[in-house]
Amino acid sequence: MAEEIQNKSDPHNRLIYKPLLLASADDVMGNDKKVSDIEEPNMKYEERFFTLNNSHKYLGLGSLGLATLAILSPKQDGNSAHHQFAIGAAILGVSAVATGFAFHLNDIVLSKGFKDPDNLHMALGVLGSLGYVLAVNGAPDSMHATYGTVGIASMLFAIKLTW
Amino acid sequence: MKILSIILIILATVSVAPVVSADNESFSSWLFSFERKKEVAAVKDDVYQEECGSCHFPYQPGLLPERSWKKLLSASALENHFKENAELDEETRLHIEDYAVGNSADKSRYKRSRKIMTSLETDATPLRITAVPYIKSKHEEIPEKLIKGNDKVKSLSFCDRCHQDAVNGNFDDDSVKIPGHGNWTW
Repeated sequence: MAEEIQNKSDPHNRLIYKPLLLASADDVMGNDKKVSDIEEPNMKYEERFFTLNNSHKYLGLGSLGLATLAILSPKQDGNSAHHQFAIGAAILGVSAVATGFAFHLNDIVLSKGFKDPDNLHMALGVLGSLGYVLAVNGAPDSMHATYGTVGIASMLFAIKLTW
Repeated sequence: MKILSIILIILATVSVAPVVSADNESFSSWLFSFERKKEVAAVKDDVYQEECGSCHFPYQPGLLPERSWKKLLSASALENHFKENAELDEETRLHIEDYAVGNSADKSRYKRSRKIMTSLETDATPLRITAVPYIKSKHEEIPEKLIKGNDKVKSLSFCDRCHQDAVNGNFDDDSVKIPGHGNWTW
């Protein structure tokens, strides 16, 4: 393995090493650096529950949950639970798309086409939200069920791709 | 209309399949699994962890393609491993090479590994992780003063100085906390 040098002048005999530069570009550290000179990373990493980035995730998952509830709830005319859940799914779906463009736009590289998972995620997410909106708008025509089904399937795949 | 829905769902499935294809897992097992594969697969090999991690951050194999690992971990290459002699006994070297190759970016279904592969030209064999176009683009917007000019970071080599959960393969922006600066995202 790479040369490891015990720091004899250090009472704690801490290890010095020349950094291997597998991950380095040309930003090489000029001198040997004691490991202890650099702040230890936070060993007790705790995922932040709410950030602007992950608001997109919660909105997408929420839309999928409400769309599922809309499918499972009794299909009644008027202001039924089915209708309310569907409207909720459409609002959260559109919000998920908006936050995706706002906070994750730099993940989209259109030149890579659908080989890039984020591009396909975006396309399916937009298709899913469009399906929700068309389903709500088209109800109670028979076609609205098709829009809703396509919407939920697209949203499911969109989320799975980046899960 | 139901038939149309079914056709559309099948088409969606077929279009997704090639994007998530990987050698070591079937499409159906990926589809019906709840396991998160958004980042890079964590290192789960003790020998790799111990031998590589004793000198530097044990970079996950999913950060480079197979062809890069083969070149980096050949016996002759290890004699001059970024200006260091990192020779290993042949048995250990083969073990590490097999692990790196078997879990390389091109064989991984993890999203960040797929992004790495998508960003590379088909004949490109990067020997540095920071030479991968995707990795480069992700670090472009960070001011130099926060890396080179930051005594507590100094170099992109030290992934885990800022990526607080790098050891688990998590390189999400939200997990970035730059020493002396704070969280990278809101």
